[in-house]
Amino acid sequence: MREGPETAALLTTLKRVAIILKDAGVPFALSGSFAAYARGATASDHDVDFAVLPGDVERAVDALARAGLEPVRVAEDWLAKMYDDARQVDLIYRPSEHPVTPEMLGRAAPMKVNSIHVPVLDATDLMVMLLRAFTEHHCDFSAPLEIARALREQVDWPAVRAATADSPYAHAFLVLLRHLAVIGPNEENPMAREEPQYLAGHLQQALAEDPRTGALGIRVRVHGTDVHLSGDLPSRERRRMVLAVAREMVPDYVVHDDLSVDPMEGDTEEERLA
Amino acid sequence: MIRIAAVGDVHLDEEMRGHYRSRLDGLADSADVLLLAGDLTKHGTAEEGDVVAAEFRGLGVPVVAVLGNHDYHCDAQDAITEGLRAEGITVLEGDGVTLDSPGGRIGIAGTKGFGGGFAGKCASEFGEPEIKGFVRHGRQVAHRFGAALRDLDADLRVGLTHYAPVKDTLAGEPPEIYPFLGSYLLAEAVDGAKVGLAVHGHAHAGVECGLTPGGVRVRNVALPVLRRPYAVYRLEAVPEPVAV
Repeated sequence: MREGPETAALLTTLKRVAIILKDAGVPFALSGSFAAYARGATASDHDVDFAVLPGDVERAVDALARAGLEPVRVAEDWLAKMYDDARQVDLIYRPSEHPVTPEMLGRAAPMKVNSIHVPVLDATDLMVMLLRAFTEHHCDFSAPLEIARALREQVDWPAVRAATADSPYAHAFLVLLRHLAVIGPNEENPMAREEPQYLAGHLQQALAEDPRTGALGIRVRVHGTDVHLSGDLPSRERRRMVLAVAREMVPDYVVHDDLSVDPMEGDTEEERLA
Repeated sequence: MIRIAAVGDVHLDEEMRGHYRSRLDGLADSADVLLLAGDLTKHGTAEEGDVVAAEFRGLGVPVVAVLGNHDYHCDAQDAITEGLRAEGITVLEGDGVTLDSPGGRIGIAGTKGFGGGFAGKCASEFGEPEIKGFVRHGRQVAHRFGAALRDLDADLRVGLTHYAPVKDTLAGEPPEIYPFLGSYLLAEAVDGAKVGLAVHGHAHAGVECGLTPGGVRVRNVALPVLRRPYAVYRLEAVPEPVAV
């Protein structure tokens, strides 16, 4: 284990905070990079994160402040920040607009970290939290990729996929994991495991039958992991929806847009039928 | 001279409200009637039917429609029909209407039609009940369509369907799906009634122009085929069938 002096100091802080929260009777779970560390990833030298319930934040901060940690005012409405000397401790209660729940803390398993037992966030919950955090301005995949590699056997990937379905950044990350063979094909979705000719047929029918698309006659061709859609649609919005639905149905394939929108630009010049 | 405007497969929904109407400005100056050849909605809800009614109401020319398979998808075809009629749009299914125009009386008979396939390569009313039901429905609608065409008392008869009466206008569609795109029984109905023009939609990948075995001009007016807001056909009243 390569643990620099920074990491060793952070582990001491981790231990200290865990003991204080336990003594104060505040339910919590180790989160962030040290949760990944506890589950087998490389140690972090950044900060220590704990997940707590939104209703317990004040109590947790009070207990830690009484023990000598220094609270910091933050503008964010999803975490509280404290310092143990120079080392930062984050109490996370509403990451990416999803409040920490008692169920989530209930799934946390007690694991030995730095010689004490600490509840550690479930690997699936941790991965969901990491993936939901991607935004336009924070979508560096390298640290989450390292964690995904280290934790892959512990994670319920179909559950991660379902929980992050509304995030295009998470989708891109999962496609990357699939192409790097970190994870296997999407087992929850029967379409993902079909022979190409059946996949094409079933996707074509699904695009016709899904009420969001109702698109008959979309041509589907499958080559390797590429799916090509072609055909005419009556509006740009409909084209966008067909692509979105197709990508949802075959998340492990790269869906190519060869669709066109019916142009109505032609002249309405009459035809004379003599 | 009679001028018939036509389009099909507009597949409207809420998000497309107003989009189509904005392209219909010159319609009243260029045509005596507008025919809508079915698949007016995306997937056949009454709400989508309301959008269709709003797009095509009060255009200054009579509007005559048939529904398509999409308009039946949510079992709301009756509500869609009522909504269109409430806005003055004529909806035909196995019946006809006669309209006065400066060029003469235009008689239009219409039906959604159905699949079944084309002469020599079609299903028969034989075997499982599902197959028999499929074939029977196609026969029944074609039969009513033929009767409605023959009953028209007009200077020009026009057949309006959603499904295709001929294979000519399906060129470009995969031959394997022809039985789902149309039925030769519709062409037989057209040929039995001195019709001047048969208009249909449904075949997005097909072509515009075709001919029935009896020599009646067929036009596939599906929007993706037309690539213009509507087609306009100018016809003489009571045309002689062209030689084939």
